[in-house]
Amino acid sequence: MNHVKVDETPARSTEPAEPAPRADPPPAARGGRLAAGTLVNVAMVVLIGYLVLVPLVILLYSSLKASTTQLPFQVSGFSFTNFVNVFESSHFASVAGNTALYVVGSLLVALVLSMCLAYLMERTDIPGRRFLAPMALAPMAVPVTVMAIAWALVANPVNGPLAVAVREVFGVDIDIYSLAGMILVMGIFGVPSMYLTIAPAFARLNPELEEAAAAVGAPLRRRLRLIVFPLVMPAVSAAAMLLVVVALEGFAIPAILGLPKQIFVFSSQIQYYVQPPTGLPNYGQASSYGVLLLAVSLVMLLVYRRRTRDAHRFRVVSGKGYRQTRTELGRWRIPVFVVVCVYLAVGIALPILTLVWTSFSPFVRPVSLSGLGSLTLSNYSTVFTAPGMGQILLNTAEVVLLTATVATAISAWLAMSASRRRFPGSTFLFEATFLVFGIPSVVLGFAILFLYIFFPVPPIYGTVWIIIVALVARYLPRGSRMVQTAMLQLDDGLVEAAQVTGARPFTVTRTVLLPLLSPALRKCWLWIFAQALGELPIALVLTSPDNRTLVVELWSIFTSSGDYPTASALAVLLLVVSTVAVWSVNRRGAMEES
Amino acid sequence: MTENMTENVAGPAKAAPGRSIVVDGLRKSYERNAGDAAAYAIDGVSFDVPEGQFVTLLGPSGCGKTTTLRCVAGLERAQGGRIEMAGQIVFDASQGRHVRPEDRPIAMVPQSYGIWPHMTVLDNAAFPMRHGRNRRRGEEVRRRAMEMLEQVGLQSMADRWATQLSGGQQQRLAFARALLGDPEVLLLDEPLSNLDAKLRAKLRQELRSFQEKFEIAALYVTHDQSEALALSDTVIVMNQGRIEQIDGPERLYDHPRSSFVADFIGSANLLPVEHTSPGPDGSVLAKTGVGAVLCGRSPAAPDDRSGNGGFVCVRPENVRVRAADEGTPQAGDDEILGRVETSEFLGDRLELVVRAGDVAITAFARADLGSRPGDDVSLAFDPASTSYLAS
Ligand SMILES: Nc1ncnc2c1ncn2[C@@H]1O[C@H](COP(=O)(O)OP(=O)(O)O)[C@@H](O)[C@H]1O
Ligand SMILES: [Mg+2]
Repeated sequence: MNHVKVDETPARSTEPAEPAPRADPPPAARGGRLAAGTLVNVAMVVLIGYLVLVPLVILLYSSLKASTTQLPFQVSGFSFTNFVNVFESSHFASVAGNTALYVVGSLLVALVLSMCLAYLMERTDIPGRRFLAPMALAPMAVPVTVMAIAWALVANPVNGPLAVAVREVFGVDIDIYSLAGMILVMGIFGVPSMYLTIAPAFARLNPELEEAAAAVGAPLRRRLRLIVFPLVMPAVSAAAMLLVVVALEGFAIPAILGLPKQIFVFSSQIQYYVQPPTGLPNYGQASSYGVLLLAVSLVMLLVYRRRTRDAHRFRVVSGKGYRQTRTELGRWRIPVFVVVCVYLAVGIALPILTLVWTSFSPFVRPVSLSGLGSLTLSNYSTVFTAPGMGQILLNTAEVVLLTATVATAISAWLAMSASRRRFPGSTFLFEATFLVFGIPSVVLGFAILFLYIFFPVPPIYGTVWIIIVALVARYLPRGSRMVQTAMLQLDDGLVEAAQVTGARPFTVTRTVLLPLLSPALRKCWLWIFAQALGELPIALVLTSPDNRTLVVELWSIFTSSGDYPTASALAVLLLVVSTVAVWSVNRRGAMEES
Repeated sequence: MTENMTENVAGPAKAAPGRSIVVDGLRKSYERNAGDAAAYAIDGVSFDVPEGQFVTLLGPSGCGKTTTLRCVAGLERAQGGRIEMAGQIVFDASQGRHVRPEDRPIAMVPQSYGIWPHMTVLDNAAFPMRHGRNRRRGEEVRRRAMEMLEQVGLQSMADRWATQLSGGQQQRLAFARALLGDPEVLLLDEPLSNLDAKLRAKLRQELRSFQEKFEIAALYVTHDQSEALALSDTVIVMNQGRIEQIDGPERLYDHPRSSFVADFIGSANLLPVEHTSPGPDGSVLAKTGVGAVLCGRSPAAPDDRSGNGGFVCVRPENVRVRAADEGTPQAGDDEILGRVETSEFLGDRLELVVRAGDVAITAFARADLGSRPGDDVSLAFDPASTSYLAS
């Protein structure tokens, strides 16, 4: 063995009088670094406060300004006139009723579907699980606007293939442009996120609990009711509350499927007041609806938080010798399999197929073999050669790339500051972003709109930047929580081992923390990218000739020009990009687990 | 409590051994607004680590060892007390002084090793030289890192990903990395606890020989008494956030200060004492449930030799056992009559549990004694190896 001379620095024992120079770096350099760090922190606090609090304040402020057609800040004094008007109008009752039906209905649909799917996939021996489970999650990759349009194509009463088939086979007329249609589509759309929350709870169930019940002869129905449901209830109720919030603020489905028949819910009503097809916007009504919606969302989210905080108490712990025994479906195995396949085919594959089919068709027509010959790329060339399309693509790219990058960066900073307690109040700041969770995106959109009309500094009204600001605010809460989850899973020792070597905090972050977090950051970026691409209400409310994006273009072609094949081509484009992003998120997730 | 430490200092290679760490009156609570009523994780902890010495914090889980170590490292900020390191004050609660971990002359091996999975073995080892407080440049970094890896037997793995190392190898790498930071003090938090028993015994010898070779002061945390006794120059026994005793391993075993220490280190018979009176030559006569016991090892202060309560402590190997039929015990000849409850043959000796009155006494007897459960035996304590513990 070679002898290593560790003490190549001036040997410490020979210079006992030296006042340990390494313990204190030059004060000037250190002061500089500290000041720079503080400056960054202060700037971030201001930025996040601005993104989170200002929209809320503006919303409250304008709801208390009794205006009908004037901008809120042109009205003097405060009053509750807007709220009084809202509650006195008969219209409010119908909007509230629709909203309640819509939310509760889609919750029920999503609950039934996702509980059945999760149970079948996790606890029974249904064949083809490896292929059915990812299929059930596929709608995750579909932007909600695209989903709504696909359903409008497949089940519209005039020439939707599904509507036509049902009429021919069952003699029943179905109309997707109805409250029931909205509920169905929202329900199916809500399945993946709910499934993802519920399935692990089912998977964690100790099979022995269930077996014990089976052994004493309890029939399947009782076993489900007495053993399975109580154990998965916490996950189910958390998922349900989140779905309620998503349904409440969801805009694309009620707008695309409800507006043609003037079926309003809160979110579409707000957009309608801000951007009425004719006449002047009614900001007062919009703000007061916004405040009401915000209040309901926040209450739901607070309950959700309490639930999830306690959730670990209910967790069923299974040891290492976990044995995956599955309930045998017996003679029901094949029928159940067929039912699931039919659901996946009709609920997920058919709408997407129809969308793709229409995008290659010269006009709207049912999917058929005979139509194969006349498939055409002309819709895609129409899309790309349309005047202004270059600008729209550029805008979209700018919006999604910048939003994903900026929001991920701020999220990372926020999560790191909070979990390392970098400065007093960092945890509070992190928690404060939670408020944005509760702001429905339509409301966030017009709060930002007011902000820049009222206070046009920096002058970004009408540019892509105003959309980016709103989207960053919107994705900050989820993004920072994604990063935080990853941070909590990191062993403290990894960072502390670097700290004690004497590396500066910035170096530790750069060389250790960020590389360790990079899978989570990449995931966060891709998730925000996919979401921002399909996010309609914010882009719509903030739209102006110079900052149109693809979703807004899709919306306007579909709702105003009625050129469905071109709209479909555009929707397919969005679908493809979004699918690639979502797929790479999940591929990464799968790779990390293995 | 520090007067006992000096007798174990055999200052290696240094003329006047100084003190690498001085901890004085450290107290720390994790509660947010730590008032007087707060629960302190450590409360009034004082000790020092002389240069080049291996000092161990020993105690049951939750007694505050990790908290103490993290306060020394600067990763936690205590509410009270003072910490000096290499002659510099790095923490002083009364002056609000807190030097951050990166500015303290330390290196640490965390319990989980903290090996960075996104770096190679060499990059892990070279980190302190590339980014740490004693930065170096160019070829030297690689050369020194390779030399150190060779010392710990990892030179052939230098370019592998750190995740490909086994537990023992990760532990060695963490150690190599810590040494490459040229620290004054090495802090180790249960570095062997994640390894299996065999590897643990091997690595603990390696650890000690490296520490001696590099003449570095080490503060080591463990809950394993055999590890502490085998490795340390000085052991600090902690209990519920306070220090029970600071002594060298032998002294700790032979002269425990409290029933807690006696019980925690090795096995001990602790007989509750009713009252005591001074005996001859500074000994103590303790009245217990099984009669009066003369204790040769007793508190230094004469005042403590008479009083109420406390324990008589005698190790099982210091209990003499005699089959009772060899002669009836007489009053006053310090023998205790009892009945064997269990008897286990362990090859070299017989381990007996004897019930005398309402206490059970464990004793190691000659293997050929042949006592069975139910037999009557008489026990005798050698006053020279019997201690009286006031608490
Ligand atoms: N981060 C923490 N937050 C709150 N309490 C803590 C924390 N770390 C340790 N404690 C508490 O402080 C006490 C001492 O803990 P610790 O120093 O980890 O003990 P040891 O290392 O001796 O097992 C324990 O009661 C523990 O519950
Ligand atoms: Mg510990």
